[in-house]
Amino acid sequence: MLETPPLLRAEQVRRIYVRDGKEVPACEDISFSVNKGEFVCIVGPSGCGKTTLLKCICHLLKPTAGKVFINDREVERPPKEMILIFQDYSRSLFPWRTVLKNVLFVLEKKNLTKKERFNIARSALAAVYLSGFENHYPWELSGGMQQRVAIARGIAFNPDILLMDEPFASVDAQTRSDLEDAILEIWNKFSQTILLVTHDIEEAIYLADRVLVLSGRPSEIREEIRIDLERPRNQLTTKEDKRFIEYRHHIYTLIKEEGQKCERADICQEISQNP
Amino acid sequence: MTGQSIKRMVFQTRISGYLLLLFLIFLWEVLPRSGIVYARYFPPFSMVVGALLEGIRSTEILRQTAISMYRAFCGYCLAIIIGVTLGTLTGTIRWVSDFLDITVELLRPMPSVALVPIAILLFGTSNTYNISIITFGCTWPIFVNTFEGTRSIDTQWIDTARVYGATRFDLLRKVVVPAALPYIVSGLRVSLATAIIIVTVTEMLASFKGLGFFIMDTYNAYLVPQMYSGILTIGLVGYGLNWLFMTAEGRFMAWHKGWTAKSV
Repeated sequence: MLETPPLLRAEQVRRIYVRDGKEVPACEDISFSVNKGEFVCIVGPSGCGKTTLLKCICHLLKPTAGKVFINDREVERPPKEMILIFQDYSRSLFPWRTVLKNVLFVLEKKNLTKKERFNIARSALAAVYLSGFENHYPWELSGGMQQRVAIARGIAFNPDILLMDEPFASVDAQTRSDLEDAILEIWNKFSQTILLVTHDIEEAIYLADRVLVLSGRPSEIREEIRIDLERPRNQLTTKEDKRFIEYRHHIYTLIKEEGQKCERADICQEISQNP
Repeated sequence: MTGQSIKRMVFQTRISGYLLLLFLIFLWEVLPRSGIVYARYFPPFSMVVGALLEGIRSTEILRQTAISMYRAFCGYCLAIIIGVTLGTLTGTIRWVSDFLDITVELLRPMPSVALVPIAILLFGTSNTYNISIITFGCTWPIFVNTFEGTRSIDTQWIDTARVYGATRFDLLRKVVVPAALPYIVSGLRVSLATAIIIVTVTEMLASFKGLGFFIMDTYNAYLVPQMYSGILTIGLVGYGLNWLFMTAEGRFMAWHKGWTAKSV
């Protein structure tokens, strides 16, 4: 059988910031791929350049070096096959548009009739259980609901792959597990491909087919772990599974090591800057 | 506090506001009549209203008001076009702001009425004279606010729109301008008052039509109640325009009020 090429492929992606005339690498030579229909999570210690990596993948930031391919085509500007959902929903939803109009925003460039647009937007909102809130403004909704609007907007656009940057980091724990299950449901229902970045190890294991562990700054892929847990996953039973706990143990240890390296690098940098 | 008692409080505050107004009008009526102030120079309220009604009946006041409003409107609209365009360009394109910065900073503090002689030399006492100065004076508040508004836009809104395939023009039309609108609107509000002031002053200085002219003309002819009726008209027009503005703002900018109330 012929192996299908991966949907998304990152090759040696590197991004270097210049700060005060000094080059600060955010991520270095990161290579990985995501297959169609896969749910991949990237975890790493905080401040290791995860957001930078995602922005490079969808070319909101130009990588300093390296290439990104989607469907074997090299990415040069934000591609229409890829959508990035941000952590901070309050800063990515447009407060001057109602919920429905926020979703319609992404359909305005598509060659559709007005009726088709409304139908797509309405069914995207229905998929995240927000029917009846179409005419509310986003700031009238709770944090979890606002992030659902952002997700609805993503799926309404119908991309090949959804990139998510710590999408559940700004909501409380209860809402967070609800949103995790909601995104799994959407992934399943729409046969989506998702690449999600998080600092939360349990979240990564709970959601993913595959977890990529990043090293501390400058970040590289430290290890790739395939998650063999049954689907559909369950907040209680999956997280009580012996294998879940083993994954958690393993990844936690890796990240702890990397976090320490990160801190040590910070201290070294500070000392070299102010001797 | 219950809704009903809030309503009662608002009502009571309103009432006390109207009471003050009534009291001032009462003073205006009584002081000249009792001879405490000189009625020749400070005619009682009823006389001023009489002069105003007479002016309306003869359409004199209405015609003068229409001319002033026409000039103010033209200047104000031109200022909006120039201020919003330049402000947006300056706020979003780095080289434009570098290019314009020094010139703008030199021109902006200049009192617009100081330009009256230049405008008269250039345009005579035509409408163009009034309109050019109104435009000059009203452009700055709009320009500065649009600049601030477009410059301080959250980059994540821009990033979001770019992810969804927005072109530069889309960004401008669907993100930059709506996001800067609250700033632009506060510039518009300031400029509206400025337009009324400048139209009056320029007409007082060198015009043969308009409310400002009417005030100076009646002043020179010693028609004191008529002079007061002109001043009263400008006050009422200013109040009316501001009321229209606030109503429109409340209608179209409701999202901003709710949004800021929520995020504080």
